[in-house]
Amino acid sequence: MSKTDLHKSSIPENMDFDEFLEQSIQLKQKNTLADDKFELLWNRAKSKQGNIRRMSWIITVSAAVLALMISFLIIKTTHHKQQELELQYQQATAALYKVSYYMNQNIDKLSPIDKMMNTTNYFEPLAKPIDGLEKLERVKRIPLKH
Amino acid sequence: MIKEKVLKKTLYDNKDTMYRLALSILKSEADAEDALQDVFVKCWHQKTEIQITSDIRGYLMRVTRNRCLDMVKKHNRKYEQPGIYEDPMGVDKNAVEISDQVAWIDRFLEQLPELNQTVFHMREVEGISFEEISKTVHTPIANVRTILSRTKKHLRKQFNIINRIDTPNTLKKTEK
Repeated sequence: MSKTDLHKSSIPENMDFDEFLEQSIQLKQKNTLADDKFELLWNRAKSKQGNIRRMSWIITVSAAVLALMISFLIIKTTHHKQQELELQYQQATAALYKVSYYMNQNIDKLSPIDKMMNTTNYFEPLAKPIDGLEKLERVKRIPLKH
Repeated sequence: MIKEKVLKKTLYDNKDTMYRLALSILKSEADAEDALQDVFVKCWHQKTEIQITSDIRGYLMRVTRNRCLDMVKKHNRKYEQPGIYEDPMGVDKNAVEISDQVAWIDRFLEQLPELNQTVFHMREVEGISFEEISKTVHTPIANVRTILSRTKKHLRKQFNIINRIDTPNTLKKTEK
């Protein structure tokens, strides 16, 4: 006698059990999904899927618009900052030109300054660089780094 | 459109099998319908990917089972069948006894792991081949056979205990 047969023999054969098991299986087999219920579930599944698709479309578009707005804002801010820096650079360059112009134009006037300082506390005002400023060569631009 | 009709017909042909499987796991008609609803939605969503072959029933069973297991996990509770506590008033005695015994068998089945229940259901109630069951529950055929055999043995043993049918082991204990 094999091990399996020995194990089987330890459980007595009971005809009632088989009958009841059969009854139980038959009862389970009676459970069915009604046709109208199936139609309802099917139609709901289709419409639900449609709603899901519509919702996902709305979410996608909203996300895209939001992303565009954020990108636009970032670009605008960056551009504004760059313009500001360029303006600062131009102003600084112009100021440098002025200083350079004064120094070139009045370098000879610096020599008697010691005497003037000893004799008087009056300083002659320097000429305004109106004509000469335009003619000056611009210095090479330094590339901006952000 | 043809694809939709084919899909609907396929689901219609398998609706009872899927419903019974969901019912056997969830033990609630409403939940079983919800599970089927989700399966239908999934099938509708993947209608272009699903291939209507001979294995479609296995696929549907697999999807249904997975959905039911997800629901069980989500609710984190054991589904129970209240059948055994039904009021027997107005029913003849023999019918009550049969109903009770059948309910006990269902109760014993519920005590077993979900895998045993599903294998038992698919084989005994639906008459599905071992090969198809094996694919659905992702278990080798030999294991499926063993699980089914053990399940039946457990049911018989429990039934004998409840009906006080002594096994040789219990007889020995009584003699001692």
